[in-house]
Amino acid sequence: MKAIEVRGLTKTFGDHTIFSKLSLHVAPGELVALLGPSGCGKTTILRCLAGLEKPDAGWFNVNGSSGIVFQEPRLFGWLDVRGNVAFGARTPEERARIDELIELVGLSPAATKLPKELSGGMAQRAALARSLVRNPQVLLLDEPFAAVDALRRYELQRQLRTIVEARGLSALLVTHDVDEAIFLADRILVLGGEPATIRAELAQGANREQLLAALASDGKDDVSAVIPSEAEGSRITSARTTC
Amino acid sequence: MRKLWLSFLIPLALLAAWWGITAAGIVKTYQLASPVQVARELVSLAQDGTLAADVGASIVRVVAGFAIGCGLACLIGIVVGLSRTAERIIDPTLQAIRAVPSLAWVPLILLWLGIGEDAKITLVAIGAFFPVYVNFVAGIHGVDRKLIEVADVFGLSRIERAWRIVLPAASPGLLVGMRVGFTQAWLFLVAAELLASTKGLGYLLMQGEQITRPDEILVAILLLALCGKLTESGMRAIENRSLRWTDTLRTST
Repeated sequence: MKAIEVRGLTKTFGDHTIFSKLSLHVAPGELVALLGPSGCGKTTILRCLAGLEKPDAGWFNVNGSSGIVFQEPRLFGWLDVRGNVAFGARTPEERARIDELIELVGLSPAATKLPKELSGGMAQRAALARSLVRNPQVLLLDEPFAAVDALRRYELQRQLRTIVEARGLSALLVTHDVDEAIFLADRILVLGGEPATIRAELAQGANREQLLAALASDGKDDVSAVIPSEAEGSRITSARTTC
Repeated sequence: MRKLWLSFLIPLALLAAWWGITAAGIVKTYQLASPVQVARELVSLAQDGTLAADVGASIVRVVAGFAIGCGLACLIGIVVGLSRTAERIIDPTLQAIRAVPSLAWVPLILLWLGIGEDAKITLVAIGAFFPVYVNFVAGIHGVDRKLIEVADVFGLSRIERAWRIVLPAASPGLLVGMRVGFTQAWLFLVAAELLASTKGLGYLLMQGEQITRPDEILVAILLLALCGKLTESGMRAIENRSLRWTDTLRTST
């Protein structure tokens, strides 16, 4: 069973179609990057998967529980780092894991700090720890490091890679950063056009030139044919278990 | 706390000017009592126990009225802040009532509730209600939608969401409303006491006017200034303590 499966997903805002009949999947343990220019609809796909937007047509399934990291940390200002990480914890087991998660993202010395005292990178690490508190099998990442400076970003990317591998997570990473996609992803889907379609699919080891060429292409040499597209108008169902 | 003396510059200058004017005999003593006369009156009122009775009565009324007004404002505010429908039903009426000049309520309330404690506490509650309500609702409306989404991805219920996110995120607005509401409570108290009471600081004011005792009036005014300032400072201290987390110019160090 796929960790994430999307078939024929369509989303419109008013009369503007963001993407239409979009299909993709993430295999268990796979980190897939969804790469495309800003404003092409990548984030909307992720928001649909997280249940924050309702697609107009199509079907998707996120297998198991998921955690999401947004573009901004979105920490609760009145809670310290520990309080923020603990926010989603419901069971004693989840609560018992909080310190371990803070340790995992390297924030133990800052556990009692308030969000306003954190740097951008630290805040984003706290957000990552918060997203892991319910022990999700799937991570949804919406340009999580876009607002972090280049040096910190590299460090955070390495950390993320380690966490995803160590915990056997599956992840869908939305990014507009070509290097981030190359560095992190097992597979890269290039998104573009209006409405957005998957222009190209590149396996790990793809180089910068190939990716830039795919981003620049007008989509006529569409490689997305390898991904099955579902008949239109199929029912919207969601088999997501939690969050 | 450095440069605290700066805050005392104007009061001290005013005191000096006041003393100068009365000592030079520029104003007649039955219109403006000298600081010394006022101090003497303060001592004599304190000694015969009327001072404690008046101040005590006023404080009880303010605190009781504020508690009622503020409590109601919190309840109605959270409902109006969270529900569009409730807002449509309740808010226009409240805004219309708010538009009535505050003192216009005094005769009506006195007519309905008589001149007892109920009437005064009701008036104070009305006075405290609106600042708390308005600021709290504005605070709730200003809560970042992005934080609400975090609650949504964790699958929080509406009540959990209100309690764990909306309330703390709207607390800066609520606390400002409470501070302004307390000031307004004092204002309404004096209005009520001026018109109908047998004790309280407002009564002291009115009595001073009727028996032409400017020293008594000034004692009452000074005490009101003191009470108002103390409650304002207290509320501000609570605000600063509980809003240490906010990242604003005021809390930056």
